[in-house]
Amino acid sequence: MKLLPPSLRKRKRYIAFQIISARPVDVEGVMEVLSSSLLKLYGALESPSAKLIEFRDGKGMIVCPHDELNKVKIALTLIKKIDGQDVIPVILGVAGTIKSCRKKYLEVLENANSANGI
Amino acid sequence: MIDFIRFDYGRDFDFGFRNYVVFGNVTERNIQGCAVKAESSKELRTKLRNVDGFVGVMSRREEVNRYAVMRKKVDVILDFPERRLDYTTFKLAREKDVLIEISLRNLLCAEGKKMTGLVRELKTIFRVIDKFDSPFILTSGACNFYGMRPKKQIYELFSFFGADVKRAEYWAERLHRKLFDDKYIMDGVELV
Repeated sequence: MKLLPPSLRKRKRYIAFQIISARPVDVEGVMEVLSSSLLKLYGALESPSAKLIEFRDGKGMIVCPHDELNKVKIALTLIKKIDGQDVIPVILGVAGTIKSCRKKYLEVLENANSANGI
Repeated sequence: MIDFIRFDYGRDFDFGFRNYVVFGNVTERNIQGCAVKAESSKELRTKLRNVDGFVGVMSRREEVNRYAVMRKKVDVILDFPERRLDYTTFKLAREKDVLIEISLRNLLCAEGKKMTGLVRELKTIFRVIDKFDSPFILTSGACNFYGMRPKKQIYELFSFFGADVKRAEYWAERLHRKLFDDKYIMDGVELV
């Protein structure tokens, strides 16, 4: 079904995350690893629908239904390799809208410097 | 909050832990733990005579782990993929005040069928821990930097599998006080 009335639409959560690795990782790698991690953990029946909507400079955002947030967080935590290199996925935070997620977690990191103590 | 790791970590990134105990490796920047590997009770007994400090025991055999819990020198039963614990060990751990480590490393190492078995076992372990209120600690158990995860993520992951996170925090805080607070003597007794 293409368009559902707002009352029937599922609430969403946006997860801001950061990938720590020796070399930079690309979007395709992150997308592939995330979907395979979800599928491996929960199987075809229980796998939550998560989508990578943004990934730049090692930081990105995933959208998922609000009731499956924990499942996605766990799948993300259990990622250990992307494109054959070791990584640490760090969840920066969760927000209800793209705007607030970007403002609270991603832009803060971009503007961070040692002078203001962030 | 304290994390148990297996390498000397330089604290380049803040994972949310206040301190790290290093087992099986020499450290000057973190707290030095002493890991004792044993395959029999006799071997464990002999090795324990020569060690001091914060002692952790690593054994694949249930009976050795059960024996380790009863020893006064042992502070923690360390986790690794082949570790086996029985029901009695959890009960004794509560009585003897010995921590049981549950680390993320096992989950990161496991795949496929092994992972399914591990998750099932974890759920059982947390049920038994709940029953006896055994002291336990949730750690990363990392062998290198890339095996580490933020504290919040570790706790959320284990909470999904049935861990009582608040209780885990209590035991970790208690251990922190035991190691760093000079005024702390035991539960309910401290210098004022």
